[in-house]
Amino acid sequence: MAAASPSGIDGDTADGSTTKPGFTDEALPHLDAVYRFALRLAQGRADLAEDLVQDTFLQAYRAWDTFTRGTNARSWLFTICRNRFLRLEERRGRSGEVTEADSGADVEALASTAVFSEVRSADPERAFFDSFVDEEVMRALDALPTAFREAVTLSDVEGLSYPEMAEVLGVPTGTVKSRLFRGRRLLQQALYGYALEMGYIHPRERR
Amino acid sequence: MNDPHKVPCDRVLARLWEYLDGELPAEGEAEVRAHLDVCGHCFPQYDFERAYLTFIRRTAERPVPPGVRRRVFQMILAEESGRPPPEPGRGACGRETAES
Repeated sequence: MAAASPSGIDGDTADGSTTKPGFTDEALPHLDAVYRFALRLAQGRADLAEDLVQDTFLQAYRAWDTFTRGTNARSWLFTICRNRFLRLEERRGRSGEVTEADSGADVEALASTAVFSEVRSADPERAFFDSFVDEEVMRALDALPTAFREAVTLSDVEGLSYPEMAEVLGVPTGTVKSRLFRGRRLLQQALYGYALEMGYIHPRERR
Repeated sequence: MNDPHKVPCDRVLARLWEYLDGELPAEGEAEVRAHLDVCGHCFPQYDFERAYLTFIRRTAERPVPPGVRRRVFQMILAEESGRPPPEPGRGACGRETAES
């Protein structure tokens, strides 16, 4: 039996059983968003993403009393999901990748207009973004290091503001911007390289 | 601040992402917008980045598999009623509970 509406979950049941008031109204509506975020954290692996979603909502349900009703449940759920993911990564010996992304001098080497000017010269008809199918874009996004992948996903897919991202990632807004802007640049470079490889665009001769 | 080109292009480009993200304060936003309205150098880059944002938003919104929602509900109902939930970390992928 598929339960389309979990009437037994929050405190609105007829028998007045004490449960978790508000969980259905405030937390569950973000299930799709949490799944989308989990899928990118999991680099496209749907089974891992579903495990993350289950773990997130179970933990959120158990910890619901600690959540202040009416505040930003979506950011809270993303934080739980992300923390669970990082803990799993740690167990697999893959911790440290996130903070490594904040260092490195290569950020200055990524000229801000590099991708744009190359695409512009190779693609005067501006078909560049139209040439990709969704799977190609997701693969490029999923190939980014974790810090950049999660920043681009939270901002550009899920529409979080910088302060919301700072809350989820546990870093200052300046770090949010640094990771986000670099992440976008890396994704664009990856897509550009892929477009060249696939013949979607052709580089123009430089004079 | 009446002449948008009194604002140098690199100052505008440095804030382009924040402008597109709607994260600039009102004065900065007005300054960037005024510059983009008249600058043949900066507008194409703005146009490109805006196309990127529209594009990534569209491609990344995918439908969630319907089983995901159902299994989350089942798990919470199990938790609610004191039955043991599915094993953490295993999810309930493809498994139907015996009671359903």
